[in-house]
Amino acid sequence: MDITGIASALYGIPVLGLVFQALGFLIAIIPGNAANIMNQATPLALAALCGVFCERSGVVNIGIEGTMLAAAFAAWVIGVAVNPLFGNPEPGPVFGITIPLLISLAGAVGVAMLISWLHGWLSISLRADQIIAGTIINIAAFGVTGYLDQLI
Amino acid sequence: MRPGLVVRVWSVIAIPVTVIGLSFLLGAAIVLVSELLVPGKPFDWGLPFVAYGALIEGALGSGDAIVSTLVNTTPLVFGGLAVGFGFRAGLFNIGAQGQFLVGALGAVIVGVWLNEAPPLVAITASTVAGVVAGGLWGFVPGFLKATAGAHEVVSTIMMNYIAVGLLAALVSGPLKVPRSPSLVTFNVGNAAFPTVIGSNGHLGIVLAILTAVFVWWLLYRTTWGFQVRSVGANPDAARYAGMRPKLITVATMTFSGALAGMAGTSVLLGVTHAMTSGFGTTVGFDSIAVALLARSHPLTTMVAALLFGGMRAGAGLMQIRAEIPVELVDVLQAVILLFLVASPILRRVLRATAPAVVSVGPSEGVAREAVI
Repeated sequence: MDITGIASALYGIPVLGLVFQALGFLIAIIPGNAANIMNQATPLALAALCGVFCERSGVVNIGIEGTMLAAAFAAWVIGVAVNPLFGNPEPGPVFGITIPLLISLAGAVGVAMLISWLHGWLSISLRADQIIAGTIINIAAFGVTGYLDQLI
Repeated sequence: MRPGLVVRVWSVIAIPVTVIGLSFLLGAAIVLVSELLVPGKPFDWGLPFVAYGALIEGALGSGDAIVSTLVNTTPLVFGGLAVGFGFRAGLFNIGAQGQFLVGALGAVIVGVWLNEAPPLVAITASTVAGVVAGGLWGFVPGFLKATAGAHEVVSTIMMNYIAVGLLAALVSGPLKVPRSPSLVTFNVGNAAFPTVIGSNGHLGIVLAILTAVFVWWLLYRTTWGFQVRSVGANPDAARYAGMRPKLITVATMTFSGALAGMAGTSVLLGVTHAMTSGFGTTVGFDSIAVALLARSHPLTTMVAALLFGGMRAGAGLMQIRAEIPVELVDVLQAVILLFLVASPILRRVLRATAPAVVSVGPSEGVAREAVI
């Protein structure tokens, strides 16, 4: 029995057949989309690491979404502001890194750290409810980025 | 001896009033600072006054403005009641957003189906459908918490994502008007709430007031409400007293979901009359803010919802008059919550008379009970 025979036999199973079809589809598209998949997975992996750190320290971080939003906005603002100062440089030799990219990356990480510090201050120093503190960060990030985006 | 009425009222409202005042001051500072960011315009010290004047005028300035405030308040009352009721039982229903969407979805499905039926039948049936759909969406996290111990915050957030996906799938697929270029469902026709005040003040306003009083009665005048509050204060003691915390958890989440579903129903049947793919984006999170500001009490929920609803109603005029983005309202909301959470510091400064006047969050249910 060749491989196609097995495959068609598997696909014939009523409900599991759908699962096997989905798996087969995924396996078929992975080689062509490896870069795309990595791109999609990177923010998820980093944010999940953030969640792991917070959970391990005993702080529930609901505000990851807002932190990411604010950091992304900061990266955009700093990038737009800094890039002309360096005369729109060519991509660098290593991974295409340029000085403005590094600056906006550092700025975004700094903003995210400030927000997380706020979360920590609320939930550890003030002993507020951790979930409420995270929700506040989400609402605040949504509001502030929307406000500045409209303004600028 | 009980202290005088003025002292007692002040001891309850001191922190919220101070918090709101401080938040608006900080909002004014944000407006002034953001003036510096926009190049090419002269700096104007009076801009915060113009902005807040327009905000108040847009919320209260005319009959239409007041009706608009009430319309904006209605879903926040239902949502605030939903989140606050969860707080009372020690549950953080962060999934009000999802239950809101699914409730609206249930209402639109039945409303479109019955759009030719007599109004009384159509309205009743689609409202019930919305409430049941929201209740179902709240039941699942409650059931998971009671049986498997799944944390309700995580499961309700996940249910939010499912609701968003379900809405997108249904509005772009089976419910869409055939051959329509935009993603929109049919109109609910006869199932729309009738207008009771002004040009667009719909039946949901009345229902919101009635529901708030009903929830108050339920919480403070019935055995079930007492059980809910007991479980929120101390589940172990409640179990020792012969109550069944797991059953109460499931029932509370279902009821909370039904209230949030009613919020979605009121928006759909009262305002939009049809579902679009961008339906009701922030009501769920606003409801959490309302419930926190109202300290989960059903009657103060109406006041807090009125504040936030008025801000939403007046934001448009503020944007026109002062050229300040409506998102300032979101910022103000977040700042109000921030100050509320940081109120231990405020309390120390104010030397408020009663201990634990403001407490936020489900974990402090006991302190809250002692004051109210």
